[in-house]
Amino acid sequence: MKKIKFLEHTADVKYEAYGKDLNEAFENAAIAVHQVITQDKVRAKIKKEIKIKAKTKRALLYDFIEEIVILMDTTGLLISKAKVNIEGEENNYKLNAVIQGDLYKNYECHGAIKSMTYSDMVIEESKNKVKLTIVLDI
Amino acid sequence: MKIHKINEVTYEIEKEGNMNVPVIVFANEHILEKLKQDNSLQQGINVACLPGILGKSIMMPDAHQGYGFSIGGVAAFNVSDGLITPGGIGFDINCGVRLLTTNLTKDQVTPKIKEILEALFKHIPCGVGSGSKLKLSPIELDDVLNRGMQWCFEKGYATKEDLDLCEENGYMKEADAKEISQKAKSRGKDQLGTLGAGNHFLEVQYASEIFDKKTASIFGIKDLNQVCVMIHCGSRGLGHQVCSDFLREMEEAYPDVMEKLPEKDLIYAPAQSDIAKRYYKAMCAAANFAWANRQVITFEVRKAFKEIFPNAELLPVYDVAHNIAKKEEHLINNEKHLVYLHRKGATRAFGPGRKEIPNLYQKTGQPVIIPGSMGTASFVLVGSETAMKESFGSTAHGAGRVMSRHAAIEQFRGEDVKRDLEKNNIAIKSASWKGISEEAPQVYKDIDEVVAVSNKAGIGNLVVKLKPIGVIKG
Repeated sequence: MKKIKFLEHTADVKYEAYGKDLNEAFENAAIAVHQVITQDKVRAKIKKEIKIKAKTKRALLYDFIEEIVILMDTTGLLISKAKVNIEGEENNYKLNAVIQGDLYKNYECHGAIKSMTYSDMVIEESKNKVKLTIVLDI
Repeated sequence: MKIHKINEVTYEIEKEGNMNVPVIVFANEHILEKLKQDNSLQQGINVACLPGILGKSIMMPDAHQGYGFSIGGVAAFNVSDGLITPGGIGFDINCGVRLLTTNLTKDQVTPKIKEILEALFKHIPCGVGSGSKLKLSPIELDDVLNRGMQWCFEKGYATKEDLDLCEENGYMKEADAKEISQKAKSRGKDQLGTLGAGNHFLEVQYASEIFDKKTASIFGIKDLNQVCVMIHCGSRGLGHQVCSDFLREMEEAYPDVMEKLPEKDLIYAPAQSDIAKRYYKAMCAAANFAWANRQVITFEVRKAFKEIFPNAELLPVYDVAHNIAKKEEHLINNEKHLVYLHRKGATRAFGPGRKEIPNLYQKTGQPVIIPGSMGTASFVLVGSETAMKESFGSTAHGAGRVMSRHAAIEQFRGEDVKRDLEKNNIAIKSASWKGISEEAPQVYKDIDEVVAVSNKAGIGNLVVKLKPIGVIKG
């Protein structure tokens, strides 16, 4: 199954992340972020944990990807590997993730990501497939 | 949507259905056709549907699809009972442009442009993860947030004239650093004096055409071929995080509103709500950070120039914000209103006599600085009475993109773009090749066309055309 697909967007970056379930789709959504600024293969050297809570799946996705963006901006970390576990139900979702990556200065990078957005966000869940559509402001 | 032509450069999308006001689009026929190719016109309509919107939902000739609001969107809401919407300001709060004049000519600068760009690149960090040389303590960062260019002045980064000739004198007094999250502060604390990436740049330019000699002279541009420096950047990670934080907070506070919105990034809060008031204070603080950023960069630009030209003098023309909300008084339907004037990818263009503009520009109106894309022209316009009447004292902000970054990277090689620019005597120094491809001149609308519409509509009148000699970017 394809993991990530970048789409056309005039000013910013739009992509789809896929997975057999929500966890896997979230993982690929996180990994896609570093692909915006580098085409190099990023080693999984540094490990971090992310724990977040949100009321809706949409907010959970927003907050999760935002954490990845903030990590990139503040510590220069590019995330190339992720393990996500989502639990809970509407009004009470919890996400625990272990993410891995390496510092941007070890790779050829261009551009920067300003923010995660809600623009054109889609969370499509079917029997064995989840598709997330995300737009990042760059 | 029912579009009808008002004149050669103005169209109206008629009020119907859920629209509270019409949409006024400043565009010629060619630009209007381009606008129909993305979702921007619908976004103008969505803004027109917001409760309490006054007069009209405006779109500028450089409009293109954005989040909620199109980029190139202007809207007004009463401070007393309207609303404030962070998407109507943008993620890059106070992304803006500053113009400096120099006492140098094109003939003096061109042979030394490579050295100048090297010096600039050395002094001003650009590109991803670029940390500032200034490491601010939490108290210092709060001071920058609260006092913007005032802080710069006290620390010796700014002259008094720099403050006088800057929108808001470089600091909005309602700023409150307490309303900015730790997340936002952690993003901003090491970014003061940095350029960022994407479409942000620093350009060394020369005056190639003077349309209004008298006004240009008052602005400080006295001769053709006079060299100027243009700085285009914003509030960096700090501002983006402020926008994000408040979008999320408003979403949690107003879930019913959120459900009904055609685009989630249109979320708003009533102007008199606690959230709205806190957002505005945070927005002012982020705006102050952006002005301080452009000032520290100015300081470094002066240092860089002096290394190559010891007698170089760089003086401010003006500094304008193009992603911001301001409390302004406007006459709407013959009534005076104090409004939150939202400008997202649009520039204030106040005419003569407005108290908000510097004494030096009271007779002319304020300078409006419109950066072109890298390698094409930029313009200085002047604000006008007509702008006050037709567009809430606003005009365009730049050229607007027509091609995605992805398509640009596929179509243009950075090396080729650089070579083409060099063939046209434009030197470029970038932190990355892809950064150059994404910003190839062809991916933008024709800036000459955008400013021609602004000029013809009378909302921002041509003063000077500037062409690049050299560019640095992330």
